[in-house]
Amino acid sequence: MEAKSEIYSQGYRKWEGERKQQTPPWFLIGEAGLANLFESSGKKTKFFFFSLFLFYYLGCFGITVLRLQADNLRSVPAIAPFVEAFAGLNLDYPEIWWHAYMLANPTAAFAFIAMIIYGAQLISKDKAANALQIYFSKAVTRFDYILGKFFAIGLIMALATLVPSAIMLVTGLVVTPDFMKYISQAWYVPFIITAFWLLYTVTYGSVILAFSASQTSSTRTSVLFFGFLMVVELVPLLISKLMGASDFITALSWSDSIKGIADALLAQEAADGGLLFWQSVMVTAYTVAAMVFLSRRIEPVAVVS
Amino acid sequence: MLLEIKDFSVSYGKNRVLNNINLSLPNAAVGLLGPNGAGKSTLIKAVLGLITPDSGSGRFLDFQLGSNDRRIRQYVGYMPESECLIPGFTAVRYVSYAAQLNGLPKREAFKRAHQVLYLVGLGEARYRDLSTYSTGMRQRLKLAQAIVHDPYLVFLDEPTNGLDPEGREEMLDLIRQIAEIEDRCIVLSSHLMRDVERCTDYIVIMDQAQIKCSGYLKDLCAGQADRFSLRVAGDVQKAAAILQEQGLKVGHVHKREPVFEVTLREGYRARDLFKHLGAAEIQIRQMKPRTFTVEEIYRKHVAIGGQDGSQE
Repeated sequence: MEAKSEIYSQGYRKWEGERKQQTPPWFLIGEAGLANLFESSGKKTKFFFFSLFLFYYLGCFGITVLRLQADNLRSVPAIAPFVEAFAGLNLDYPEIWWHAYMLANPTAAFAFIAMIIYGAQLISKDKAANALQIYFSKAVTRFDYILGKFFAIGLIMALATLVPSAIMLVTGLVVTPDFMKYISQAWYVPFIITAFWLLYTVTYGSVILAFSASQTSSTRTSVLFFGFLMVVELVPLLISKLMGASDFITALSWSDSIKGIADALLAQEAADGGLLFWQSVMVTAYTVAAMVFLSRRIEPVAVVS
Repeated sequence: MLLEIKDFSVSYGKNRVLNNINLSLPNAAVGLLGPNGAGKSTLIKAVLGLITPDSGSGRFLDFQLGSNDRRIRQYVGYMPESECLIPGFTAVRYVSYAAQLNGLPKREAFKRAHQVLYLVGLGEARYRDLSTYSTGMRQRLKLAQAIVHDPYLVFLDEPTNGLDPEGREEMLDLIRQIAEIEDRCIVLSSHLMRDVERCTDYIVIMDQAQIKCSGYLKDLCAGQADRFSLRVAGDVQKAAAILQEQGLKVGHVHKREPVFEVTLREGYRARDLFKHLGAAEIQIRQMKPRTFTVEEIYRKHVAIGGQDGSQE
């Protein structure tokens, strides 16, 4: 066009700068997904989770201080009863044991609740709002989108894994009476906790995202996920009953399998190598099936029309 | 040329949805017309780089189509017909998010989001939750997210849907202004021929997986040398009868106004019209070459009611 468009007089400017994604799209998608979940939560839900985590983090902090400063704190009358409460526990357990003690069960419970409440919304809301069209008409690939949603799940799961672990480690570094001994016991803990976090993020994430991608309602997604848990828990139980109460088969349920792998990871040894192998096979099979289903439900060519 | 497609064919299973398409799009405002199922959406997907062709090739700027190169989409804007808002966002966040996904730095994305929202008339409502927006506001917002990253090519799918008459006029003005930006192209897909006629310079008509017609409107709509629209003073029926007696083809005789169309035969010149009507004391008040409307061009090329338009 010869003449300049009137649009310039209204503030429009051409963009002559670089078009290179400085922030990866998956990060933006994950961050936005999480922010959306937070904003869509009611005040009571926010308060409930805030109180819960505050209490939990204070517990992590308090227990680390109590066990590492037990000798000094016994001499403080107001705190002495709390220290004595630990008398039954061996305070010389390694750092990873305390992480397992504080993290294993809360994480399993939190993963279930968080997926039902929050994970279910991550894709179903986008599908209900037809937002996938917007994503895939931008410089976003299916891989970016799915990775972004896993990132959001990862951030949620970090609240019950990475954050309390970091609190315990930082507190431990500050209050330990023997710094070098603490370092020698704890240097590998971040790696194990990261693997623990990844385990829950990938296994729970793949299943809830697969269900979320199949629905346009988060409530239906939650119900489906709950139904899935019931089935995968009940089927091994029924088979074991039919075969004569086999603990081996009962332990092959989906959530028990994940917990079994997590326990082996935190304890750094398998209680039963054969069981752990089959638990790993089960979890891998469910995760791969969920991933395949998920990627088939998120099809850029199908959504842009 | 901004976009060039050569012998481009795409199939979904056994169903061929683009059949040996050849197309060159200039830097202009382009109207994309065609009935449902003509292949318009597939063409858009192909340009967005989401489809690998069965055969043929295409090039947009320096990018090869069909390579699933995400960088293509950094230079393309897309305003879908259906609603596609991200729940829980405010307008400014939504538009800046779209810009960031297309590779603009965060600070620049927010700056441009504010500018573009003012441009589309949502400046005052830019911090409101999108769920509170009216249909018209949502249309404007979809346009804002499509142009925020200054794309070289913008696809606009039914952009005036749900707009009141005033909003529609504003939207069409804005589209025209976007089309006038140097080195940029818009592709307007609409069933409203008037919108296409008003906003575009070039049209592409698709039907049955093929491009039936493409070219500049001024060329396609240009009148035939032997076809005129006449306005007369006097009895229009009598005037029409006189010209028919001369062996001319007369049509579109208006019922309320003294206007009709006439097509000259070989050897009959325009000045002969004045001679024959003047002899019957009928005065020609207006005589203009008859041009085609977009609708007429569309009907000429598109199969309607099972008939292949191109064979008319």
